[in-house]
Amino acid sequence: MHRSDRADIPASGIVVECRAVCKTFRQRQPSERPRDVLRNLLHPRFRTVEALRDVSFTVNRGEVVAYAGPNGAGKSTTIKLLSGMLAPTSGSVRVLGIDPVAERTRYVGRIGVVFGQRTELWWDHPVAASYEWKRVVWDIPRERFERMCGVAREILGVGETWNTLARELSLGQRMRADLGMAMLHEPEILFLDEPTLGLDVLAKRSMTRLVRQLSATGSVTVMVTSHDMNELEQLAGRVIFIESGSLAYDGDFAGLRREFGDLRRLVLETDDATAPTLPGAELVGSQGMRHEYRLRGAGADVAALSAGAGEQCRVLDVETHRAPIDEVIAGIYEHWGRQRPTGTA
Amino acid sequence: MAARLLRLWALYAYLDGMWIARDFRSFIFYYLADAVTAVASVAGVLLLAQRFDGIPPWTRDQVLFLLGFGMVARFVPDMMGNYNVLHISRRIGRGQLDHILVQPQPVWMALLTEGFAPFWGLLSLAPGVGLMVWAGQRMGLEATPSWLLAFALNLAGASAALMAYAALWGFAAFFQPRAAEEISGSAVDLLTDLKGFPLDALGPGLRTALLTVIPAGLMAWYPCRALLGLDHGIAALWVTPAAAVALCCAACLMFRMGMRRYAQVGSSRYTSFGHRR
Amino acid sequence: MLGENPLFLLTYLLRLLRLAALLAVWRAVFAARGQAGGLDVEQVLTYTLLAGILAEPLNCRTGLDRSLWEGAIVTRMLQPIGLVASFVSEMAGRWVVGFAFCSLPMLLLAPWLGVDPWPASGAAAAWFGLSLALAVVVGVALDFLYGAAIAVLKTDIWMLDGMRSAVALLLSGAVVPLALMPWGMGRWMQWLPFGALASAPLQIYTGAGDAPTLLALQAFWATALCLFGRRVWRVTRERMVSYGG
Ligand SMILES: Nc1ncnc2c1ncn2[C@@H]1O[C@H](COP(=O)(O)OP(=O)(O)O)[C@@H](O)[C@H]1O
Ligand SMILES: [Mg+2]
Repeated sequence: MHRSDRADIPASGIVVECRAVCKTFRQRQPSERPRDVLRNLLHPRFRTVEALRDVSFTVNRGEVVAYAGPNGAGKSTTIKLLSGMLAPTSGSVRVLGIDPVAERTRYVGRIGVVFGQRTELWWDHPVAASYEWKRVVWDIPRERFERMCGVAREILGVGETWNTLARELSLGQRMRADLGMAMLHEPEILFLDEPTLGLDVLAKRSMTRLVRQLSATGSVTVMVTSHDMNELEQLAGRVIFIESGSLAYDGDFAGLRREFGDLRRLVLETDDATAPTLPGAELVGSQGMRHEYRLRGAGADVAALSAGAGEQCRVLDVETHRAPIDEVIAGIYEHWGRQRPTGTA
Repeated sequence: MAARLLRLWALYAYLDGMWIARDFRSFIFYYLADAVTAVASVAGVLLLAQRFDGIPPWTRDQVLFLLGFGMVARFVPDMMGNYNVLHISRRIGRGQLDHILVQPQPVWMALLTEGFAPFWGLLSLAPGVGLMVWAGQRMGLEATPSWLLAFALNLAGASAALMAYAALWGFAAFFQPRAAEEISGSAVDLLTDLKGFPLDALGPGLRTALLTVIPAGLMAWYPCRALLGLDHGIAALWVTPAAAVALCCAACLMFRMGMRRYAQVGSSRYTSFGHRR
Repeated sequence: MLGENPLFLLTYLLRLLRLAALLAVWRAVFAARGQAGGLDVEQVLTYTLLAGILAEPLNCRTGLDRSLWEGAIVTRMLQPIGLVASFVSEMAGRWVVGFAFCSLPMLLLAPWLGVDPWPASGAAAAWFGLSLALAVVVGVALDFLYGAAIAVLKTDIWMLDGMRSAVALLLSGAVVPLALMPWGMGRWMQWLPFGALASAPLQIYTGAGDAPTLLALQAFWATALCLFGRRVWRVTRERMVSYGG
């Protein structure tokens, strides 16, 4: 990808910088009782929600960062802070060395934002017309526009829906068109908030592949949020995990597994429908004569366990595999639940 | 900046034209429905003026002029206010402001250009202009340059007053997004539904209210009185434009307060209903 | 509904203001003459006031069109009570709110507006009750026919909605009494079904029309439109279920 016109921008270095960011919201708590109608109007009650508390992280140019957390953790709030839609309650947000809110118009010309299930396309117009609209409003030079249209049409497959009205696109096609549109002005950073929300499995897979391809060109920094860890692991090398507004983990996925327990699985096939009881392993379930166990920690000795099983019945087959990352996260949630019983918002 | 505004207006005109070309039948259908509604909503006063040869102190032709003026005063707001720009509370209340905030241009510039749909507006101009010209000719109205200037100022004032009034209420959605989602619709109705009435026989209290807190009288009644000489004196000619300026200032102030608040509280709800369609 | 959104009050304010403006216009018109079209100023003012107070029953809107547009009609059809009953009861519920927040204040303001709200005579009041009931029947039948039409046209109801309201208001004589229309238009407009909506009951109330004739005409339209509506509804029913859903 040519970037001759952006020669002034260094190829590496910090692009996103959040320092001690807090964001609190006040939410109305109207009473449902009919006799409180007047009080709701005159004296509404509020509750304070800490959507983000003391969140700090930096992102380097060219990185692909997964921003993960359960629903309501504060992911969208972070994306809105980073894209200049919201100002932090305290702390500082700087992206590309700019304060996103104070210098919004200058700033948003250099980033791209895609919210899953929100579309930028014009409902009653073909995709091409929406792209043309974007060209004029963003003031995109012809040469770049043509080139990025090419990227959208070839890599993202927007070509096949080029002349289709937006209202007639499937959700998957629409998301691809939206992604292509967000890339048209060649943003330096791409913020994707739940880009796979509502997509079916195939469309999800193609979306992940496309984001990977875009990021592989190395010229764009990507921050993508999702509550689906497996998907994020396919996309990014680095994961930032937030929970109830606090940063819980920042590192690679292997580290996440290490930190929160490597949940390996042991599957025994025996000649007996009743599962043997094994000390140090927990039965997850049985399917006929297949019994699945959960192993805790790296120290569990698989050989000793299967030998122990051999004393109770005949073992036909032994296999082990890694638990899917979602289960790691389920473990994390449990962990949090225990530490902070009232924690989840 | 002016060049950019022109470029954006051209863009939206192009999109509007494309829409019509693609779906001409719907366009004709909507247009007819619109025209019938516009005529039917002033028809009551029109028929009365015909039957009783005017509504004192207005002669029949003066009433026709008033009705035409009111219809034309809606033209600019309608032409500039598509995609819920005129009904901005819907956009704010539904969390759709974020779509504007990602655009590398000031919000006011987006609002000033996004709702522009000239082909839609253009046709609805015809009946109003027709009424005014016809009535003016029958009255033997002298269109001197100074009168035309006053006419243009008052017409622009009436249009601007409507837009500013709608915006003023619409920005209430910054503060109460859910409750105020539909408020600019009601505000616009308040002004436009009353625009065709000669309000002279109303009591002084109501008349004042209809020129200040609910300035429906500015839509046609007051400017036409001044323009047709029912009010003597030059000062009356300046009332509508001046009121429009005041309303615009208030709307700007409200907008700035609202935007400052929006950066703090954002929008927790989002529905795509009505967005870019 | 009430606590959530006080916006409906603005709509009622608009109705009140429109009533005041209309009354002012009538006063101005009648200032120079004692009578017109067989009506004197008192009658016209009462007529206008009552049209304002009873705006909802005199121009029935059941919400069928919205329900069709949003596809919510399917859930209605699954409800145990009949479709018509379901929509009518909901409409009546809305009237109660409108009556409390708009009609009642209008009635109480009548002396201040300088209008005599009482019917022409006791007999007129009695006939008026019957006539109003017939007007509601005709209104509901027309609303269902309109619903059938938009189900067939499959068109954007928001556009049609304004047109329909404005036209129905005009043709029903709710704004300008049919007797006061120019060019003798009222003479043939009274034979349209719309005349049964507002013109007939209001004429009876103000003692401006011949009650038995008007009631007979209303009864004719009520029967004819109900029969016709049932037929049309049966034919388009299948289409309506799939519409929007
Ligand atoms: N504009 C807002 N006003 C009030 N509360 C909000 C607003 N935006 C988000 N919240 C609250 O902040 C918390 C975090 O929300 P969000 O960032 O949307 O979570 P996520 O995207 O991770 O699911 C939630 O409890 C949500 O209800
Ligand atoms: Mg979210």
